[in-house]
Amino acid sequence: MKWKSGLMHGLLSAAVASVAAIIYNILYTKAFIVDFSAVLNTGGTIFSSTLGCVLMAVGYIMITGRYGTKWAGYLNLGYVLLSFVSILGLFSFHLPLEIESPELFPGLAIPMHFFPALSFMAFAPFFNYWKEEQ
Amino acid sequence: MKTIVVSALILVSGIGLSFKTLTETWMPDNTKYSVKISSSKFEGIFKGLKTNIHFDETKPEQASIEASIEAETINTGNGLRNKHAKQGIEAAKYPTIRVVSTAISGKGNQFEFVGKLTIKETKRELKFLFQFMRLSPSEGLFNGTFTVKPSDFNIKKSGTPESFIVTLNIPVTK
Repeated sequence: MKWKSGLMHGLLSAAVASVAAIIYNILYTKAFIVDFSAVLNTGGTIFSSTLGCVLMAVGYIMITGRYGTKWAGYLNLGYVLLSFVSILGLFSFHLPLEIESPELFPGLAIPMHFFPALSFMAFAPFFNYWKEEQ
Repeated sequence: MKTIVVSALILVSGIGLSFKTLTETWMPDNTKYSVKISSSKFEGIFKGLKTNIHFDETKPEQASIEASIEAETINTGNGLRNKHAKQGIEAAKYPTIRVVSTAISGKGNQFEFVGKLTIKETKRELKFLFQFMRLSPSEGLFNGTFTVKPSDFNIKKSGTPESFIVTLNIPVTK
């Protein structure tokens, strides 16, 4: 039950994070008249959001299952920290030379790195990690 | 006297006209050219190429080549590095990087360019080998590579590589 519920949590979070990232990408691209589709496309966005959210769910299932739900807080802190760390690489990321305005790329990609963790934490209270301990 | 002056003017303008018709004027293909720089630290490209190329491979001694690029267009693929590079070459203050030939020699499709390179209003002699390939009667391709030392042009911003290799690939049409 915990695995099923946890994976549902991961997949729902991934879907919402993906939709948010895709909408943000469209808005950003139109607002700044840039095209980063060669390095940041819809398929990649969905894949990375799904991977991130499912891994977070697996972490929740395994750690809270073994050590109790109070560890969810530490996991949340860890997920936020990892999200912050993941943006550091974006500042040194080299785009293909034919892509113009690379200085605008971090503004697109950095918020997207937080969408999976935000979405995952927003939905966490709706899933029954907590109920099983009561 | 008047007749002599008029005759001299006609002669001079005739020589000028015949000189121009001896060389061929080429225009770059603005969608396909590349002006690439590479170093141990990064690669980049410039845009905004403007040229004035008079070149006939059978008469290279009569050729003249002038070309400029816009310093602000440098793109290294990274926003922070672009900013650093633009500061190094002071792109806002010195918007143009220019080469002008003083002598061109060679034969076949191998030629030597001798001229001046101007960066940040600092002129230095530039000498390099280049190739010209005639792809059709009205199409050609210039290829060349040369090395630039930033310190020669008073580019001293920290982190600037000791030297860059500049690679030119310029398809042209008449």
